[in-house]
This record gives sequence, C-alpha cells and structure tokens, in this order.
Amino acid sequence: MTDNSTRDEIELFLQGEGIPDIMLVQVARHGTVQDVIQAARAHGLSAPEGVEVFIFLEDAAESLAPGSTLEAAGIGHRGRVHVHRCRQVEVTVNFNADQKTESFPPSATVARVMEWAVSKRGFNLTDVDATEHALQVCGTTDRPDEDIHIGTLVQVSTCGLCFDLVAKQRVEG
Amino acid sequence: MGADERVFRAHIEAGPFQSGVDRGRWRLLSLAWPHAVIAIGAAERPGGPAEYTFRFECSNYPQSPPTAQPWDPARWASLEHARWPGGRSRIPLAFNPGWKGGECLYLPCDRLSIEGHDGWRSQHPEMIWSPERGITQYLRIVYDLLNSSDYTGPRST
Repeated sequence: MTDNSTRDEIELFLQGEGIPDIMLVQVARHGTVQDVIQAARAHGLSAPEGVEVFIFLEDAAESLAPGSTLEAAGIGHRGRVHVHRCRQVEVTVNFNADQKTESFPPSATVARVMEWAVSKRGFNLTDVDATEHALQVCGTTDRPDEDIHIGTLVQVSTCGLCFDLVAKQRVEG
Repeated sequence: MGADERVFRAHIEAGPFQSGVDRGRWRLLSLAWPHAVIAIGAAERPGGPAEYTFRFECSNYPQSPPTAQPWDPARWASLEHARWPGGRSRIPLAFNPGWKGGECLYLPCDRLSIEGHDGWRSQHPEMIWSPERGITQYLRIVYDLLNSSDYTGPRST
C-alpha cells in the first residue's frame, strides 16, 4: 500500500454528491469531520453552503457527528468517506420484467447493491450468473465500477436511483 | 517530459487508480515512457497466478487509447501464449494470442483492436476508451474479466 501520510496530514478516498469519481484528498490528521466536509466542498460537492449534509464511512448506515475528531470517528489514513445531503437512497433495480427496491446509505458501494440485487432478496442469481451481469444506470450506458458510492449517481431531488441489471456481452465481430 | 506522460503520471496518482491499488486490484511495476507495466489481480484458480502483468503502450495518452499485451515480468518479455488467461466465453475472445500476433487485447478500449471495429461503439459503449476516465477504465475492464466466473486459469491448465 502506498503511504503518503505525514505527521500532520492523512489521505482519504472521498466521494460525494456532485463529485463524479473517487478523489484522493489530504486532510489534517488531527482535524474533524467538518474538515472533511470542507474538503468535499473544495472538490465539487454540489450541495450549496447552508444546506445540511451528512458524512458517512463507506457502507455505514449512520452518519458521523461533524464535531468529532477524525480519530474518534474512525477515519484513518486512506479511509473511505462519503458526503451527501441524502441520508438514504432508494434504489430500484430492473431485471427482465421484474423490479426490486431497497434503501441504502449514499456511501454504499455499487458492489454492495449488486450483492443485494443478485441475492435471494433480489433476483436470486447463481454465483456464475452474478459475475456475468452488471448494474447499468437506467437510461444510460454507464456501468459504474464496484468501488463507486451510489450517492455520486443519485438524483438529489428524489434521493433515488435506478439501475438495470444487464448481461455482460461477448466482444466479437 | 511530454504532455502525455505528465497526464499519465497524474492519473496514476489520482483517486481512481490509487483506490484500486489500495484494494489490491492492481499495482504499477514500472514506468519507462511510453510503457507502463501494471499487474492486475485475478481470481484464485487451480494452477493460476494471483495476478497477471500487462505492458501498456501509452503514446499520445490520453487522447489515444493505450494498447496492452500480457507480459512476463521475470523474463521482461511478452507472456508465452500458453500462460495467457483462459476461459469459456468472454475470456478467450479478449485474451486471444492469435489476434494481431498477441500484441494487444481484443477489447474496445484497446488502441489496436478498436481499429476497424466501428460497430463496437454502439455494441459496447461502456468499453469505448474515455480520455477522462483514463488508464483506470482499461484496468477495471481487465480486472472484471479476470475475476469473472468465465475465467478458468491459464490457457494451458
């Protein structure tokens, strides 16, 4: 693992509302959760100043208290965090003629949603079939990587997100 | 240092590439422009390696897509064909040593393979090279293949 931490700063993998991909940002080692929110604003967070936003550890359901120190909040070097104004995202997945819906925190990864979508609570695919399918954002050809937090894909007006579960095609011709 | 190398170096220091490094998906072994040698993790298979190494040729990056070939880091030469990744359906098409003499992968994001395959732009839009997404796009596609149920281990096993 690359370690670019210093005595004063650590690196974080930051994602959030309006931030299109994973950002690697530096924050003060002894800073607070609020400092991470400021870093997110500096890197394109789309929530306007004055609108309440929440910060989550990756895949965690509960948001962190803004006044907490990074250490108390469990955020270490190369930790993965997400900043968003939605506390929950309602995800709908379409597969063939069927549709399933479930709520996730915005910090849930695409991999976690995929895990649910192919499980018995979702469309009950075999392990073999599961790796031959991908989540594609409805109405697009975008198949976000499994590392991406779903909050980056959300329409904020609804705190909702729609995927199609599609088969990976052979490249030939 | 040329603009293409400068952009490439910035991309491998940025979040998407480093996220993959941190997750153990891939790692940079060497960079001697225009070649980058990168190891990509593979699912565990009997007789299979923990990772495959690829040499990317990245001239005119990121306006032009890279092209990649399986690489043997021990001999510092192209990987012998019997040790290329094998599989049942998508894998033998993508990793086909008979295609252009084994100089590239048969993927829409590869500079040599996209030539003459304009149909891929509508058939596989998610795999068409994007200068904004950069090298990580190519790595994610190969990682996905090497960690799919279609991958069965090296061709010879």
